[in-house]
Parts: sequence; structure tokens; C-alpha cells
Amino acid sequence: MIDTQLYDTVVKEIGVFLETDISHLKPESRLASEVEGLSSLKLYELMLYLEDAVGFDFDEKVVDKIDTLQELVAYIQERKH
Amino acid sequence: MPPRRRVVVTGIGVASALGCAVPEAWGRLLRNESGLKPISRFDAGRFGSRLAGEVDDAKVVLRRGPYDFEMRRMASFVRFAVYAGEAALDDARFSFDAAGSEAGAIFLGVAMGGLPNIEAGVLRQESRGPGKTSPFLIPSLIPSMAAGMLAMRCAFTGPQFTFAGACAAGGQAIGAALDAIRRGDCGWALAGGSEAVTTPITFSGFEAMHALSLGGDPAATPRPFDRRRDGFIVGEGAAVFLLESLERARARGAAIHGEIRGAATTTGALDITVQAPSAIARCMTGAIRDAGLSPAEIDALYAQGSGMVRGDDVELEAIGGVFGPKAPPITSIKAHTGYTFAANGPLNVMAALMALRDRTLSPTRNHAEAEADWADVVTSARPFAARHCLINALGFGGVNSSLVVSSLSGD
Repeated sequence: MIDTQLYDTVVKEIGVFLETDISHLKPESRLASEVEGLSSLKLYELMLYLEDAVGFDFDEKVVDKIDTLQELVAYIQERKH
Repeated sequence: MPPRRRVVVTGIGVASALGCAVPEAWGRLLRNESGLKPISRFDAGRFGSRLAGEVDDAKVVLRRGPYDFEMRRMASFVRFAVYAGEAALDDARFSFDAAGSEAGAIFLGVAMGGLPNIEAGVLRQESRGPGKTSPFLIPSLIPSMAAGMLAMRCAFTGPQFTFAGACAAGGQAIGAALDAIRRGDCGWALAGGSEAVTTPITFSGFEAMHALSLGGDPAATPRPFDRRRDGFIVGEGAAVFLLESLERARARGAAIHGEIRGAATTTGALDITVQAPSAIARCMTGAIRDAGLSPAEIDALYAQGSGMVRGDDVELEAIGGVFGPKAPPITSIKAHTGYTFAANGPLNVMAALMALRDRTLSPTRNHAEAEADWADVVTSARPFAARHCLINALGFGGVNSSLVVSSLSGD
């Protein structure tokens, strides 16, 4: 069950990171293809940013396996401090 | 042999501790104001040298453009170079299409590059593990990223060159641009230098060499060419120029700041950190000869004048060797801007161009007891003949660069 408050926080922080509004995206939206400008380098940088902004630890081996916004939030929820 | 193309400056951009616009920086030089302040970029409590010539980051405002996201992650030397390069293009009212791009070139000098980012990256790696290194770390610190990001942001596709000749790098870059335009390799060039290494390891390293002044008062340090000097003060900044052939500049009705008339670079050292006076002298003589002038025609010297104990003396010896008892007035901007490494030569060029325009030499701060009695060190703003200035930028490893900058008035 996704924590909706965490979901909203992550969406907000991604928007801050990319300096763009992504609130129109849905949980099933695919990060790499539907978030404009999110290259693989930027996705990794985003994870580093979210670690500090939201408070969790990510395993760098997992980054490539995260596909959708929902999967990202679920992963953060699992790893949150 | 046909006469060589003349190369002129039509645009200037600058970022320095004195300001990030030429009128501000030059005005403060003329008023003899120091841009040196207590270090703000890190806690300098562990160090003896606690002053620096820091650029006000709030003034380095880049217009929105390509790679904004990446630019925010670049090391400061990249941001300063891009800021100064774009300012030079604006100042010159110069833009180019794809064909125009291929008629140009970029030549920048960067000595130590992204040292602050290297230091921060290592500390992060050791505290949080290798997996938490930013994927933008490496691109942010490579010396050629200054030229690279400048090129990418303005869709430039011609050749780019980055010189790493220590504190002579920026002077070498301008000299190479001069030669390239003369040969017809390109019709225009962005040329200059950038450096920003105000970070703990810089101070550790230079303090270990006893190269830094430990004085804490900008009213008393550094002291270029003063017998009481005790070292240099770290500075940061960039100066980038648009250079064009005189024909091209006149054809498009460009306002001309002055001429890059001669350049030379030599090697010669007494040890790895002290240049040989004979090599500095050959460099100055070479630049003067390349300009088609004699030493007697040089009206002023914008010197290296770092305030280093071993450094100012060898430069003075070289000046005496070239000019004899009739040396021109000598001035240094290092007590105003701090020592800016690869940007030393380019910032000197900016000052010399403005001095030629206003027919007034800027003063050397904190000079009261002369190292050499024969040297005419300018200590207050002074009118001068304003035809030709010689500029020195000298680096570790015995690398030397000299330039001759001239006014075009009367041409």
C-alpha cells in the first residue's frame, strides 16, 4: 500500500529537482520515457537528491530496475529511515 | 611575404573579486580597492592564510539556455568561463550561424580546474561510499569543460583548445588565438582563462610550500614587489575576449577595445616553482619582437607581481635585463583581485585594455618599500602614453607567457 503523503512528497521533490511541474503524471507513469529530460545520469542524480531530501538509503544496483513512479515511491517507502 | 593579419579585441567578459562586469572591475582597480576578504567558501580556521579574492556567485547570473541543469552542477571555473564568454559575445554584439561557428575557435587556459569538486567528491566517497558519487562529478571538473560548456551553450562546433600551462595558461591561450587568426586558421576566437580553486586542499598545498601570505589585512597583503612581501593571496575569476581580425571587425562595424599585437611563451626555471629570469626575459623580448616593436616602445608593464617572495624578484631581474635603466612603469593587480592562476594573464589583459582606453594606469596596492629601487612601480592611478602594454603571466614548471596589448587610436 503506497503511502500517499510520501507519494506527494516524492512528486514535489522531483519537480524541484527538475524545475518542472510533474504533478500531471500518474503512479504508473514511466520515469525514463514520460518525465521530460530524465536521462539515466539525471535519474541517478535524482536518487542521490531524494536520499537527502526525503531521508532513505538507496542501493545503486537497483536504480536501473525502477521503471514507474509507483515503483520509485514503493522502493523509497521500503528503504526510508 | 604579405603583412600579417592584425588581431583586435571586440568583446570582453569578466568575473572577478572586483566585480563581474568590466566597468565595475576596472573602476575598482582605478580607485585602488581590494576585492580580498575573509574566506567564505569554507571554514579557514585550520589555515594561516584566511583571505581570498572570491567571486560573488550572486553576480554570475547565466541567462537561461541549453544545459541549464548541467551548468548548475559544473565546477565554478566552468561557470565563470561560460559567464565571461557569453558576456564577451554580448559585448561584441556578435552571433554566429553554423557556418560562422566553423570560422571560429575557442582557446581557454585552465590550470587546476575542478579541484574543489575533486576534494568534495573524495570526501563524499569516503563518508558515504563509492555508490553515492554523483554521475556529474567527472564532467564537472575536467579542465576542458569550460570551453566545452561554452561551446555547447552557444551551439559552437568549431575547434576548441584548453591550455593547462599553470599560471601562464590563460596568456598562452590568448597567444595561440592570436597566431591562429594571423595564420587564417580562423576568423574569430573566444580566448581567455578561468580558475576557481578556493578550497581547503589548495591552501594546504600552498601553505606547505610557504607560498601564501599569512597576513589577514587586505590593506597590508599581498605586497607585489615590496621587500616586505610574504606570499600571494588566492583569488578566483575569469576573463574571456572575442578576438577578430581587424578586417572582419571593421567590416561589421564592431567597436574595438584594442589590439593583441604580440605574444610569446618560453620555458626556463631555477626550480619547479621559480621561473628563471633569463627565460622570463626571453619571453618578454619575444612578445615585443612579435609585436614588431622595440623595448623602448613599451609604455607600461602589467606584471605577474604575485607577492611571492621567490617570484617577484626573478620577474624584476628579468625586467631589468630587458629594459635596463629605462624600464617602463610596472603595475600589478594581484593585491586587488588575488592570484587567479590561469586567469592571471587574461585579467591583466582586461586591465591593460582599459588602461589604454583611459590613458591611465591602475595602481599596485600595498607597495611602499621597493624590492628594487630602480623599478618604477605605480602606486596611484597615473596617466601614461597609452600605446603599448606588456603583460606577463608566469607559472610553475618554468612556463612563461607574455603578451603585447596596444591601442588602436591614431590607426
